[in-house]
Amino acid sequence: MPRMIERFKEDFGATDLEVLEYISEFISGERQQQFKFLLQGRSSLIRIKYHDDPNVFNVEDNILEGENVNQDEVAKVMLRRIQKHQSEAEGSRSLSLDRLHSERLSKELFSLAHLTELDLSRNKLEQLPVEFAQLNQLRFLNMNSNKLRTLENFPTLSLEVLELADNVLQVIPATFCQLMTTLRSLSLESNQLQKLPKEFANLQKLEELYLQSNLFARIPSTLGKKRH
Amino acid sequence: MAVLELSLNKVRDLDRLEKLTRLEELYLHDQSQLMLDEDGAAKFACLPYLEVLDLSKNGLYELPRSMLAGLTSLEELYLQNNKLTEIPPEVCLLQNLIELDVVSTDQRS
Repeated sequence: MPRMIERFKEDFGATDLEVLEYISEFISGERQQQFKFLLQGRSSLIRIKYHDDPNVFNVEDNILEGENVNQDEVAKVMLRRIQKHQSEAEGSRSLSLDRLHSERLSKELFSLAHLTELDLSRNKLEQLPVEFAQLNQLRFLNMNSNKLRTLENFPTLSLEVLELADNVLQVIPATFCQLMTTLRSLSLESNQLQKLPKEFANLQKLEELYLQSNLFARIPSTLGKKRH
Repeated sequence: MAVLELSLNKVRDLDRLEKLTRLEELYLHDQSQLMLDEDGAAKFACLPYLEVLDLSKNGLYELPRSMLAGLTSLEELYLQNNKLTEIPPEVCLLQNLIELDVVSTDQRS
């Protein structure tokens, strides 16, 4: 089995494989292409589970299983992604820390004040720490599929697109609406919202609002403020 | 506000829709209890820029005739999977309409 893992790493250039469950004799040509495609752009993987069974093979379901990952291991992978970003060309202002199922963020993240795009989707974050607000150049932030209950400590100067789908939000705090006035697009899909606060009208630049799969019984009343 | 996606909620009526005068796309499919009466339908007249309207899967039996009159910019109208038996003739007045979906709405006429 270990030799298989080594071969896998070589074949696919996946240097950060943490755990690999490789359940098959070999990978046929077509599968190999699929794997190469999947691994493109992924600097690290938490866990690969591979069944060489055409009935089981489903790319998303089968590849990354992070539900029970060890948080200490996850923290290492997150840190490595951040360090890799820091060592790369200075031009990069975009960072993906997605799919780590992490419950917390590395402190090192907060010093990357130049970031304009950050993907934190598919983690297990319940809230953002105060230091997160230091990322004041962020324009795109993806926090889909986390466990957010509150909306605090977002950077407020330039955020334009905020993705918060598939969290457990029950209310939108008034302060959030008063601070996030640069938002153009806000996704709150698949939360537990019943209404929006009257302060929502402060989001005067908002062009796109996604509220599907919530608990709204009425069309929210505070959307209609005229721009300008 | 140009795009409002409210599908898969429990919206019962179209109160306050008249305030969203800048709306270009409105998605309201899959409301379990939506009632579309004359009052609600009249509110669409306040949405002159609306280009996409999705009211599919709402159990609607009829579309009030006043509904379509004001939707002068409408390009896409989705009404599939309701219980409609007819489409108001005013649909012919929607000069910008490109796509009309009324599949499986129990059309019998």
